[in-house]
Amino acid sequence: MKRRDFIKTGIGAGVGCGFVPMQSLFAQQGVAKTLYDKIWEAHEVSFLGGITSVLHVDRMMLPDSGPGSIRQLLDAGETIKNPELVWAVADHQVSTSPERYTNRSLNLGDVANEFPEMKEELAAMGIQAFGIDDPEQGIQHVVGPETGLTLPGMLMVAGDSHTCTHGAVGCVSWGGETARNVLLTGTVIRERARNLRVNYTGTLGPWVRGKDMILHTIGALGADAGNRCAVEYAGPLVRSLGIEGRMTICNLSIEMGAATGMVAPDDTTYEYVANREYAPRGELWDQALAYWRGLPTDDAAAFYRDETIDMTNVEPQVTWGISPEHVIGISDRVPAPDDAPFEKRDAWRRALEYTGLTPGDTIADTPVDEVFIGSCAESRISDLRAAAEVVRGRRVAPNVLAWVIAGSQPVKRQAEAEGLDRIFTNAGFDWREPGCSKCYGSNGDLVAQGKRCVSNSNRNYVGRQGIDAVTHLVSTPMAAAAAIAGRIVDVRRLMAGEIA
Amino acid sequence: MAEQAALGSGPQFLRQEGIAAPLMMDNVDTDIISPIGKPPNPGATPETRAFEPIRFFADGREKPDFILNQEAFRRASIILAGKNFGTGSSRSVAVSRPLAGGINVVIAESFGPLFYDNSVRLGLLAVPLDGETIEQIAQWSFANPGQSILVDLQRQVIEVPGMETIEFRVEPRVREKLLNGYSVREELSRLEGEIDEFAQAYRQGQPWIYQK
Repeated sequence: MKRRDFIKTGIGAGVGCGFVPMQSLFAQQGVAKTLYDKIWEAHEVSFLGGITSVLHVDRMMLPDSGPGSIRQLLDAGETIKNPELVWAVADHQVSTSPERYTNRSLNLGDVANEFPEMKEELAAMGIQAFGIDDPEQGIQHVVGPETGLTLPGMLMVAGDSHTCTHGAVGCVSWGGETARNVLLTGTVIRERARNLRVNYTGTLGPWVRGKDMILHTIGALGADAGNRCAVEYAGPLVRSLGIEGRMTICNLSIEMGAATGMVAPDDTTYEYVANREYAPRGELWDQALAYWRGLPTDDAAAFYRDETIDMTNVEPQVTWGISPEHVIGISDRVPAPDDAPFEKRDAWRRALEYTGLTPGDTIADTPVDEVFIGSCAESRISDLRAAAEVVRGRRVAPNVLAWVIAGSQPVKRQAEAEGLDRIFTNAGFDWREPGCSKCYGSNGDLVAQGKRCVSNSNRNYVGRQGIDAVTHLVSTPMAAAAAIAGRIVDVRRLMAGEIA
Repeated sequence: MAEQAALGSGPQFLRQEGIAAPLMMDNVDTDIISPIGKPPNPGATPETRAFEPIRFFADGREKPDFILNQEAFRRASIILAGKNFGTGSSRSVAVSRPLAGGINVVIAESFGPLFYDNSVRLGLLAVPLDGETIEQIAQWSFANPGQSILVDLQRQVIEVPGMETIEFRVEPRVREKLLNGYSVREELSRLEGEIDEFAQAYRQGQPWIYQK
């Protein structure tokens, strides 16, 4: 069973090198489609009945264990399908200590050694592998778009759940895939998601950013709102954001329960992608661009669900519970379980018990033990600049342990060139090496047992950052402000000089 | 009934008869089901590592209010839950640890997408059902401690003594995979020709993807 005849007729039909802009193919079909539908159908190898298909993969992104997985397969005499579509980067298990380059045992597993050992062999197969010694190394969801390994229109898969981040450049991306299956077949089996569009309207107030947009959205729609859906973030507010802000929004799609999240490509996207290390150039760029321009959702396309989120008057957001949907504005008070819809009362009670907050108290002024700035949600240069603006000329409060971790080596180099590292270290922050770190600590970077951490990452689940540790999710500048004040505060008030 | 022999080398699921434990919460996330990167709880055994943060206190004592710590539900093989079960990360231990503890079925209103994918891969049956029906099964389970229900994938039904037969639907591909015990690779190897043909045409159509 095949449902991709439209693309087949395009390929090899004698037009140029077999390239036909997708829009003309859809126009021929006369069917209005969403961005997600177009990308899905362009990759559909075989329809398996129901809503399930086999899809061709454009990029398989491997984590720390990547070289090891490939070694195992090669040793077993297996053949890697489409190796030139595979890349790997060490992020989850790498130490973030500056000593990690000399004391290699600080890195967990074999990540410090496998990348250099296999680098040439992998390169000969067309596989880029970025270990801690490579100038591209960083968190995979920062590295992909930054290097141009992620491009619009792609189907990008990986193991890691936050692979949905890459959708910000107009591709379809998801985690949860097993390296072995993808490496051996070049395909995945997936169930097709329904189309959910979130339209952002209104204006963003001062110090309100992409992170606040998505946290507010999850609060308004619920942590299961994206169930079996592919979310397209749309509307003028999304258009006004840079690619980095869009990545933050797409990053938390999985926290909304969605299969993936994406933003249609536009001139901002093409400007961002152009001239990246692995982006196409010259004639191929022109071909790619013509194709990408056909990807955005057609005006007449129907959505399973269409939601509008008005950002006017939305404040910087902060979570008070153990799900990203437990979120309020910084001026709000901690809610009481009785305020919850009936079916959520038990969950709110459990959440408050875990986070130790009292209903009716302001969320502001909650004391903080640790602050974490890093993670695939927000650790790109625009995020670090926003944090530095808050921190400049101020000091981290006594007894607060505060870390800043650039999302990648290029981000770190750029930040250092701008002197941001000095702003952070002069204030008392630790400035560490790129990796996933304290977002959930699989490299050993954990929040101390039972401590309270304000974090610009994406999950505030029970025990996520450490045993009995409490996480408050916020934007990067809000995390910086909490480090300075030693408690959760409104970054707008801090910057206005209203908070000492 | 004659057992259907597995045709593949993957996990097979035909039916499960067993105790259904109500864990009637929404958004049971993967960090609750299977924390990673943290030392195991001192009270946990290989069979009780699932749900560690709500199963044990930090010192290893059991939390008495957790359903699988209650005598009637210790040997449960089916979990009943609310919305968005398994929301969170792609970790396969979110499925393999419950499986190691004898949990072979989760019946919930909806599932986190990556938990769901792992369940199909690893052979735990994730059954989506409406909340009202799940609530009825939960009430029955509390009223009939130690009694079993039957979840039959062949017929796509749940049988609860004294209740009308409950029908459910899973994707045709999921049903075929689990009944036959195919691995994902076996499912895909049958399509190898089609996959290669597609990849060749695709390479010509979108050459820039290969120019990295």
